[in-house]
Amino acid sequence: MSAKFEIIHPGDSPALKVDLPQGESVYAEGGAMVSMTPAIKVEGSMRGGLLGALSRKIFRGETFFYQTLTAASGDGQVLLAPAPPGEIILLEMDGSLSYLVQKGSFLMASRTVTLQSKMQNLTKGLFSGEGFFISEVTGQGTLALNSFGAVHRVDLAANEEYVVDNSHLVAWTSTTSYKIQKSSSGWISSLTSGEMLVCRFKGPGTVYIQTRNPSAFGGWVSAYIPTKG
Amino acid sequence: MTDATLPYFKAVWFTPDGSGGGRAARVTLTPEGLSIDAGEGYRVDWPLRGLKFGKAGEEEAYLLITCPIVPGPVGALTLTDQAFARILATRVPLVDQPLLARFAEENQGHVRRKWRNLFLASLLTAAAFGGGYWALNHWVSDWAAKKLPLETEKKWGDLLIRSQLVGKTEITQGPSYEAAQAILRRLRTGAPKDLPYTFTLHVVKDPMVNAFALPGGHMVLMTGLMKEASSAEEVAGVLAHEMSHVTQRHVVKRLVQSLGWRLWFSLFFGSGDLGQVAFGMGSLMEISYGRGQEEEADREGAKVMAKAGLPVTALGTFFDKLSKKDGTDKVPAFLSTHPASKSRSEAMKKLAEELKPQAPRPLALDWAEVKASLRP
Repeated sequence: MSAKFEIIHPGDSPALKVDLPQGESVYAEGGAMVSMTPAIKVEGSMRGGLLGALSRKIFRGETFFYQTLTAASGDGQVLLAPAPPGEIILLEMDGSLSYLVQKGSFLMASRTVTLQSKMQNLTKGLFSGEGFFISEVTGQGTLALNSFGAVHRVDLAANEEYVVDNSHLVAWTSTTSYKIQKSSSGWISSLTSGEMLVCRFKGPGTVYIQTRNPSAFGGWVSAYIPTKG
Repeated sequence: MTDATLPYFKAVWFTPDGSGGGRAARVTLTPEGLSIDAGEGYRVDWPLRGLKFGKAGEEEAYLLITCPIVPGPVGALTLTDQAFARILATRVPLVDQPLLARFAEENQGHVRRKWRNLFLASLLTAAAFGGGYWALNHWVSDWAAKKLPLETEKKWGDLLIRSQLVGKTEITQGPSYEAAQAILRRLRTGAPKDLPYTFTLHVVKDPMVNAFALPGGHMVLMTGLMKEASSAEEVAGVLAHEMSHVTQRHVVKRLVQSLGWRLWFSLFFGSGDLGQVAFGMGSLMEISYGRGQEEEADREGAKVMAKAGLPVTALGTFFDKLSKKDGTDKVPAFLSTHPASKSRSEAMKKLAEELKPQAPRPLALDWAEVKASLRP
């Protein structure tokens, strides 16, 4: 029997229900555990040692520690949830495809799935809205990602192109490439359109997009926060 | 046509419109072309002459293959296998050969880059580790020693002295104790007046020729050293040196270094066991001073001796005697081994000339009697 994953309360406040047979374990973003049966043992672990943990914390904005959830004393169940409101998606990985995941979108993965930091080039690091370091996810097993808002999936045929506003990315397959470009042909119209820079993807592959932009949301909220004096 | 006996290459298959995303596929090189098993019961054969090549993915790490001459909508394949690209290059029309060969080469470049990056990452790691260690030795310990409140230093000292005296017999009366305290009293007169330390001297019954200082001003003098010394002034020389390690805050700096080093090491390698780090405090006896610190303690100790009316050269004399007796490789911890024995003894003679001390006032102690009291 292997682990079972189910997204419960779909919508903007979902949770991931994980049923673990005894001895099985998954790892999740630190602080993701909501509730669990007593058979589950939670341990903090710095996967990849201090350097790995530091690069996760500093460069990808994730937590310093992952949590390993193990069904230690019998079969167990655990509920996991991300910090931001938004959808959770499950990706079944058969080893043929690897994914690139933006910072903060990792929620949970099977033990057989590997996460490592991948450095983006200068342009992408500065302008993609995803920072210099993203996660490269390889291996076989289940990967759970979370988004801000809902997740929209776009499948691209070979050489098909698609444009996504920066900061709206969740993940994309490694068979897909992207470059940063102005949203319009001229800088002025790029600026005035409110989009400025966008990511132009080229297939084949799949791009997962989040329907809300966290930094734009932050800006929107801040306008409503009363200032002192 | 798929031939089960031919080796296959792993690939990812994409439907003509990309729907469903990529899925694992197997590609076999047949004499006629490519035989693709795209899973879910879908198989297709592409003739060699109809293949079209491109690159895909981040850093163009994938070879993209399509076959437009096949009637109807055509899917696409991506592969990363260099061996596949090299074999294919020998079979396809001339125009595509350089592209495939280059892909195989560039892909090798990817592997090379990966190794290079790994090498660079290792170098950076080593540099960060070494840099951290260097910073600890140079900046952090100095900074921490400056910032550490005297009260805390004294508390550490009180804690450590207790652990150092466990299982040992401390002499608290008699000629050896009195003599040791008399030496300390005289040395105090040579120490700077505004010194925040009140030194406490513990005489411990131990055959080891040794003396050491702890943070906050505790000093331990072993009877072995008293027996070895020819005069009370020689013992005074050693104690003045140890006092200076305290006043110059070498002890606390070394302690911070030792603790910090353990903490740094355990953090770096992912096993931040703070219990073990705290345990490191117990191993203070392993701490040795740096060359600069030894020289500074010699110099400051000499000043104390001169000001207290004691012979500046006494430590040098004692050191020479011990070196001759045991060989320089067996010098006691209080002298450490860093500055070479000869240069050190000479430096002390030079110091004696520089300091121009007044005529020494010998300690009013019958040293032979003190030593006699130590005999079993």
